[in-house]
Parts: sequence; structure tokens; C-alpha cells
Amino acid sequence: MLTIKNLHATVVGKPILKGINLEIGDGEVHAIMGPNGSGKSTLANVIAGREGYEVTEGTITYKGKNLFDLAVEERAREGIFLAFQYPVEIPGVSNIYLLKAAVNAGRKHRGEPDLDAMGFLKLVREKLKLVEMRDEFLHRSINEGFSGGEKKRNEILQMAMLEPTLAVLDETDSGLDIDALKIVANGVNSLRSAERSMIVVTHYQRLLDYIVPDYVHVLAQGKVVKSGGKELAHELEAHGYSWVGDDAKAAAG
Amino acid sequence: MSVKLNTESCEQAFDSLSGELVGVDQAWLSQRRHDALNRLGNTGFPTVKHEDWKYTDIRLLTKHEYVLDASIDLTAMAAKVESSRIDALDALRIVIVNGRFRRDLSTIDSLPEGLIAGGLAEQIASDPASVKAWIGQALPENGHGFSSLNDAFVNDGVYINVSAGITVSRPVEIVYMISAGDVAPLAQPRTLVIVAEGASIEVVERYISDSEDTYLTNAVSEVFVGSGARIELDRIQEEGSRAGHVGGLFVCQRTDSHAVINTISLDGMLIRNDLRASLDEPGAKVVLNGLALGDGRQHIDNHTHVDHIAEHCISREFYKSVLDDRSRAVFHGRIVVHKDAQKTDSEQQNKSLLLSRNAEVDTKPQLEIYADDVKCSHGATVGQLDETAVYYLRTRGIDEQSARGILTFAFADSAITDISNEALRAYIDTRIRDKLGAGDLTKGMSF
Amino acid sequence: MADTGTQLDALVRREYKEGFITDIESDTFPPGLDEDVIRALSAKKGEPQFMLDWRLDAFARWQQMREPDWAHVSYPKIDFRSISYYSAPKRPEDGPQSLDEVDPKLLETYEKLGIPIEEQKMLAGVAVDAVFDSVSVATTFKKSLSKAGVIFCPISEAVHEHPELIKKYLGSVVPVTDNFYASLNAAVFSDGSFVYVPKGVRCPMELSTYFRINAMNTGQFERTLIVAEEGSYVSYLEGCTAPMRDENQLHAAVVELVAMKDAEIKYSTVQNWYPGDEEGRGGIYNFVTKRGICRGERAKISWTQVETGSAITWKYPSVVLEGDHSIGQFYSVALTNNMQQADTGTKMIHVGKDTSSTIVSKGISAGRGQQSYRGLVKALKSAENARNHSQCDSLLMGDKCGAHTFPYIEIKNPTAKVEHEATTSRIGEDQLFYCRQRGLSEEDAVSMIVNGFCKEVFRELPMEFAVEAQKLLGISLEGAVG
Repeated sequence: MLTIKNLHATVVGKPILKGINLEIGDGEVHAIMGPNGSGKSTLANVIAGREGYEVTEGTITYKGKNLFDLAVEERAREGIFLAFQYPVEIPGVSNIYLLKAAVNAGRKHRGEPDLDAMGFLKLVREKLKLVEMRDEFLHRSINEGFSGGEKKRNEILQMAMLEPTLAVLDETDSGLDIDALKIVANGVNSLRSAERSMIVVTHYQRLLDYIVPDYVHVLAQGKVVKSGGKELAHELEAHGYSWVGDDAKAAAG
Repeated sequence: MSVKLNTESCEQAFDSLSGELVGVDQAWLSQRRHDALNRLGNTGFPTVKHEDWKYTDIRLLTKHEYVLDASIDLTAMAAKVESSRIDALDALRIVIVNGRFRRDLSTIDSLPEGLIAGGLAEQIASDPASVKAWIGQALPENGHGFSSLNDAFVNDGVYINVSAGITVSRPVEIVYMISAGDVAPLAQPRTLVIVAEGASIEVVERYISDSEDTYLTNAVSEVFVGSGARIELDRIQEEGSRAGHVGGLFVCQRTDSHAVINTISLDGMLIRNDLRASLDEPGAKVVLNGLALGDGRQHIDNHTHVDHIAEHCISREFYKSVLDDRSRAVFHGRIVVHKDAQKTDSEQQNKSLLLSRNAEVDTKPQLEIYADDVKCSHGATVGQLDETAVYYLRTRGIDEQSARGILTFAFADSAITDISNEALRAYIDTRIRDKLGAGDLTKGMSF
Repeated sequence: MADTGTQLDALVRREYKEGFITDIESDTFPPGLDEDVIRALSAKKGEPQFMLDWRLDAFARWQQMREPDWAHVSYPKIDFRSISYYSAPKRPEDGPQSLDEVDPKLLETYEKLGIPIEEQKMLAGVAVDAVFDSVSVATTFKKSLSKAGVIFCPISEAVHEHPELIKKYLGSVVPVTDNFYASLNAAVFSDGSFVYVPKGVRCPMELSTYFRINAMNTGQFERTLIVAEEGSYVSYLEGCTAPMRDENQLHAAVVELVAMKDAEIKYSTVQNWYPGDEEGRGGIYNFVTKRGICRGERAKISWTQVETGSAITWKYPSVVLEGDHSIGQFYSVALTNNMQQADTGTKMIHVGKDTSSTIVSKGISAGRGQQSYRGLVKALKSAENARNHSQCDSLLMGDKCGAHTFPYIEIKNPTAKVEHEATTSRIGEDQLFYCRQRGLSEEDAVSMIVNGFCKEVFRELPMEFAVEAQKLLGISLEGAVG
């Protein structure tokens, strides 16, 4: 699905990623953990193609294609979905409008006809249940005045509607209380499938109790300093990030 | 009879024309006109040296000679009036051509009980007292030359009066049309809207012309909102490409009244709107929304002035401009909280979006506060689309151009959400979409 | 007009009730202003020809100008011909001979501000005794400055010592034609300070304490010029928290700042001139033109002001952001109590690319005070990516005062981003109650809330100044609540 080789990236000229290697297979869920400033969110944004994140070295191959050849929206239509750490507020544009425009942009890309209004509405209502959101939610401006939990649920709703093949969840647990976390996690889990891979970026192990990863990677100073199975997350929880500190230093050196 | 925009020429025109104006036998009316002419003589027409006209140079207007009594091509007008109908807008229609009321073109045969709606000249002729009681009452004493000019030649326009407790269910649509041609007409409609205690009405003022010729609309509207009464007034400005439009709108509000004024400026070469709302008694609320959508060399100037005279009043103001090409917008929003207006609650926002290198915006939000127990805020921003929002939409698969189109449209369109009539809103939506070239993608976006 | 002229004249020359004797010295000019007065003034100072020419040019232009009337202030018309434009420096024996002769009220205020006794004497105009040797203190400062290569001297001295710098920079930021008061200042300026910081030099001290000692009696038409060469830094503190005794009613100062590439100038002001009595009698008219220019890339100019004095303040410290990536800042606290009126704010003129400006204005109005924020943010066509953020907050105390906000925003570049926010509120009764319930006096509570309101500005002031400014606000607001 996704192969990252020796990825180096800078933000405003400052090197953040310093040689990331990752291999993500179909249907796999990979957790990326690490202390603040380790480059987790940078990795997520580089995959999505955000401006200002400059790749200076390395490659990312997605479904056999060079990811860097694709514009932000082309990546999205090819099935890459980024759940934002800070979902953007867009006054004046309703949720339902965005969902419809986005779903149809994807369908058009795949050579499918637009979804008719009835079919679309049916689909939305179904997905709304997944994240326990009410109908009126759809008619509010995107994320405007939403609580932290509502914003994150809205991200998962969009993910459910767009049915990506690679979902990147950037700190989706931040700012959530336990109930909202469960709702979000349930939404994500119900979207797990053999065709859909996920990258779950998080600072805390807490989220991984609910979204159980196949693999865990620890990022420090722009490099993967440790990889392992889900048990790695528990070790981190027990020992803290300083536990991988020596490896981090070695990586940095 | 032609006139230029200087005091001398106006005085000459007045001498030869004042005898033919409606109600010459009414001494109070003649006095009004003379006083107004004197005021004009004292103030003259504004120049950029006046603080309130700092950013709007009227020399574009003063270089022309205007005709006060231009002839009208009736057949052509009838067709235009017909084609100006808005789909699905079920409204009573009052048609004004070159400032004169046309009963033949209007659709006001069956008015509901408690509503008077028709021409101002007819009203003056038939019931002068009903006009005398209101006309000029909402005008500030220190008005500028244009409103004095309208006042000096006051002759015809619209008279609407809603009796106490009456709710008018259909909107009243006033269509101000222009028949221009070889000469440049000066249209000076005067509109009086009186909403008595507990009454309610929606009025749509549309200034329309498809003319490519020079003309000037110098309109004055006065609105009186009685205790507990409600009005929604939607002004849609779609003047000709060489047209000047100077529009004064003066609103007086009594206890617990509620007024919503939406000013949508779409077309016209030079538009200057003066909107003044006076919250005279406790509990009144006024909402002012505006949208200036400029392109080409359009110049759109919105001056608003809210007077918080009484305590416990609320004002909300929300103006937006989107400017392309070499267009320019001016926003001057003044809120004055007078000394007894405690517990005033006032908010004002002006946001501008520049789409072109040569567009320009000048904004002056002002708060003048003489009471202490108040909650007032204002804000102004000038800028571009939020790049994070563009990115966000793109990560959802929408291409960049469409993303920008959607966001621009959303920016503009949010200024019209308080227009309650769906048919009217749909019409304005389409106009905004067409003017922005926002394309099909934004269809169905409004909510 | 003649009446008010006489009135002003009387005020200008009135005897201090403290017992100060205005000895009409033989070399004080009679009231009036014409070319001869300017020639005589220039001759008195022994100025070179170029200065005289400059003054005469300014005077000729000033005569063509009209006094501005757009500010939101009202005062009797000033008769500029009734002012005396030159008065020789006072001799020590003209002032009060000891603190016993000074108004006890004034002393009380000094006491509250915690001003050392020797400084009190100086501020009150008492002849300084031998123990406190201001000259030797000043000399110490002067040594360390000259070691760094910094020039800091009266502008009248600079005219002689550094004529090439004066010729180059005087009037280069505020031209003689700039405005009515600035032109008048150019024609008749009395004295002021000149600062020159050479390339790469970081001025070794805040130019403050020395200034306090040095800059007394600069007169009513003060002129200051600060030039910071490439990569240099200077922090300049003007004024004083203590109420200044001054017999001139009209003050029309000009301050010019020039910051070259990578240079930074920080200019802080605490202005506490006599505001007049509770009925608005007396009090200083303060009509000041202050402007800085960021000439080179990444230059930075920062104005911080605390304005609590004067009957009328008319003042807009501005920055012209010419160099790419240059930065302009304006932090202001203005307080009007009793009958005071202030119309103050700033102008940020964005010319270069990627320039940014910040405006934080806090207005406090009490008594029958009238206060206006007036600010201009302008982005010219060349100002690619200009950024501005303005925050203007007003706090009202009492129902007879006024607080007004008049921002002007003129944008000619589509990549510019400008945000202006303003709020007006009063001190909440619940806030006061809360504080008092915890044992604070009402005045302390007010002072605490007001200081909290002004925090963003105070933290821009040098530490020592900030502490004084906080005390000053409390004192200026005494009696405003209750």
C-alpha cells in the first residue's frame, strides 16, 4: 500500500524528518508514537501533501505510484484521507455540502456518476449513526463553533463517507474525553477492513487501547527509533519516552 | 429641465420647476423644499475634503448634466418591468420609473386590509396630512448635499403604511427602474414606510437598470418602525454600468421594535449608501447586513450610522466586500452610544476579500461611546482566503480552483443569510454566483 | 479670540501658587511670532546658517497652514501670536528654595510614587544642593556612552558638533510641511535630544535616568532625533511618572526616529503633565508629532506610551515600514480623568514587502474624560504580504466619560492581511465586589483591574518604568470610582 524510504523533510527550512522508513501493507494499522516535536504530525502532513512541508530526500510510493507526483486533492481522490489534528473551521460552507462535493469528486475520479440526492442522503444518515451525530449537524458550517469532540467526530464522519484506502489519523485523541474517544474509536474500528490501511499518529497509548494497532513505531528526532507490535505501546506507557531515549540519541548521532 | 450637481444650477432648476411639483398648494411642503434648498446652498455637494467623503470622489457624477423630467419609452419599460420579475417571488409590486410612480406597471390591485401601498405623489394629493406627519422626520439635520437635493425636489416615490397589529404576509417589492437614452436622467424617488405598533412587513427595494447609459439615482427612504413592530428591508442594487447611485436610508425605531436591513450592492459604477438607524426607545433591535461585490472599476461606498439613543437596545452589523479587477469598496460604520443609552449591546464586523492586485478597500469602523454600562465591539479584517481551509478542502478531494470558488462564494453568501424570503435569496445567490464566476460547484451550497 | 488669547497668555505667564516667582528676565522675548523672532532665536542659540534657513522655510510654510480640527477634542482657540517663543534657561535661584515651598499635594504624589527625595527636588524645580551632583552622574553615563561610540547630547549641541548628521536627518521623517504643529515646531523648536548609535552598536544602557536629569527645561517645542545605524539597538525612555511642573501650556514636540537595516529602536514614553484641575482649568495642551521610519530590511521600531497627563493630548506615534521585513509596534495606555481629552493612536504605513505591525491600545476613561483612539493602517501597492493586527480596548468608569475608536484601514495590496478588533466595556460591579469581598479597598480593586487591563502594554515597558507606570495609573484614578 505505502512504502516510505529514507524520507527527509523540512518545515520553513528546519529539518524535521531525517530518514523515515516505513512499509505499510494492505489492511494494516500502524501506530506512530513519539514525544512532542518528534515529527509525527509532519509525517502525516507530508503524506497528505501540505504546502510548506518540503521533502528534501527520499520517496513515498503509494499503490505503486510516486506520491509526490500527485497534488493534494489527487491524493485524496486516490484514497488518502487525513483526519486533522486541528480540523479547520470554514464559516459559510455546510458539512453536508462538503461531504457531497468531496464524495462526488472522488466518484468522478473513478469514472462513476454523481450520487443522486436521495442516495447521498441515505448514505449520510447511515454514517451519521456511526459517529452518533444528529441530522442537524449536517447543516452547520464546517467545524464552526464545534466542540473538540464534535470536530473529531466530524473528521471520522468524513472518513466514513469517503471510504479511503489509507487513513492517516493525526492525534485524533487529543482534546477528547473518554466518551468521545470511545465514539471516535468505534467509528474507526468499524471502518477497519482488509483493503483499508491506517496510520494512527498519537502521543499517548490510551487511544491504542481502543484502536488496537498491528504495528507500533516510535519516532524521535525525525527517525523511527523503535518498531514492534502492539505491546510496544504498553512498554512505552510503563517507561515513558525516555526509555527509547538512548536509541533516539543513537539515531540522532 | 436639466441640472448639474452644483448649488447654482440646482437653484435655477428649482426656480423653474418648483411650481410643477406635487402639492404646491401645501405651504408646509413648499417650506420643506425651500429649507432643503437653503441647506443645499449652505453645504453644497461634498468633496473628498469632507471626512465622510474622503474615499469617494463624486467628480465622476458631477461632470454630467442630468435631466429631471426625462421622457419614458413606455412600451420598452413595460417589457423590462415584466422581465425583471424574480421567479417564485410572490409579492405586491410597486413600480417606479425615473423616480415617478407608475400605477399602470404596478401590481397592487388587491391590497390586504390595513395596508396602504402606492405612489407618494398620489398620497400627497389625496391625504397630505398622512405624509406631512412623517416626511423628513427621520432625516438628520446635518445631511449632505444629495439628501438635501432629494428633499428640495421631493415629488414622488412610494408611500407604504401598515396599520397597527397588521402582519402583511406577502412581501412588497418596489422596483425602481430607469429609462435612459439620449439624456441622462436624474431619478429622485422618495420612499416612506410606516410600520405602526405591532405591525410587520417585508419590503424589497430593487434598483434596476440594464442601461449602459449615464444616469443618477438619488434616492431617499425613510422608515418608521413603531413599538413592537417588525420590518425586514432588503435593498438590491443592480444599477446600470455607468450609473451613479446615491441612496439614503433613514430608520427610526421605537420600543421593542425590530428591523433587519440587508443591503446588497451588485451593479452600478459608483454606489454610495448612507444608512442611518436611530434606536430612539428602549428595547429596539436593528440588524444591518451588507454585501459589496465589486468588479471592473466599480466603486461601492457604504456609510452606516447607528445611534443608540435609548437604553437596552441592540445593534448588529455585518458588512462584507469581495473585490475584483480595479474595484474599490469603502466601509464607514459609525456607532454612537449616547449618554443615556446604558446597557447598549452593539457589535459590528466588516470583512473584505481582495481578489485582484488592483482592487482596494478602505474601512473605517468607528465607536463613539458616551455611556458607561455598555457592551460594544467592532472588528475589521482585510485579507485573503484562509489557506488552511483551501488545503482542508483539497485533502477531501476538491481541486484548488473549486476550493477557492467555494470559499469565496461562502464568504459573500454569508452576508445574505438574514434574507428570509427564499425566492429572493435564491435569486441573489445566483447573481453572486454569476458575478464571482463560482460555477456549478457552488450550486446548492447555500443553506 | 483676543479674550482667549489673553487668557492663555495669562496661563502661560501666571504665577505659581506654590510661590514660584516668574521673574521676567530681560532676555525673554515678548510674545509674538514673525521672521525677526525666528532670526533672533536662532542668533541667541548661535546656530549656523543652514538651521536658520530651515527654520525660516518652516515658518513660511506654517503661515500657509490651518490648525487641524478633525480630532475629537475641544478647547479654546490658541492665539499663537500671544506666546513667547524664547526664554533663557532658568537660574536656580528663580525656583523654590526648598521642598517646604512646594505644593504639599505635589509632594504627596511624589511620596506615593516612591520618588527619592533628591529627585523630588529636581522635579519640583528646587535648586539642587551640593550633595546630589547631577553633573557627575551625567558624566559617568556620558563616558560609558562615548566608549561605545554613541552620541547623546542636546540637539542644540548636535547642530554645532554634528552638523552633517543634523543636515542629513533632521526633518527627514517629519518634514517641515508635515502638519501645523510640526511646522511650528520646526520654526521655533527650543531644544531636545539627539541620539546617534553607530553601526553594530548595542547602546550599553537605557537612555533613561540620564535623560531625566538632562532633559529638564527643554521648553515647550521639544525636538528629538534618534538615528540607529545598521544592526544597532537603542532603548530610549522619555518623560517621567512624576507630575511635571511646567509653566508652558502649549507643547508641540516632534520626535523623529530613523532605523537602518537590522536596527532596532525602542521608544518608551510616560507622560504625566499637569492635566488641569477637576473643572478642567489649566492643564497642558500636548500636540505631538512622533514618527519613525524603518529604512532598511528587518528594521524595527517600537513605541510604547503611557499617557496620563495633559488636559489635551493629540499624538500619533507612527512607523513608516519602508524596508522589507521591517516591523512596527505601538503599545499604548491612555487615561483620561476629570475633564481630560485625549485623541491618540498611531499610523502604520506599510511600504516594503513582508512588513508587519502590531497595535495594542488600551484606553481608560473616567470622570468626564473623553478619549479617542485614532489609527491608520495603510498598505501600499508595494506592500506584498503586509500584516497588521490591531487590538483597541476601552474601559469606562463613570457615566459622564466617553470612549471612542476611529480606525482607518486603507489597503491597496491583495496579499495584505489586516485585522482590527475593538471592545468597550466597563469595570464590572461583580469584579469589584469580588475583590472587595476578599478584602481589597475599592481603589485597590480598581487599580488592580485597570492594571490587568493594561498588562499587555506594561510588559513592553522597561521593568523600572513599568512599576512606576502601574502606581501612576492608580494615583491618576483616585476618586474616579465611588
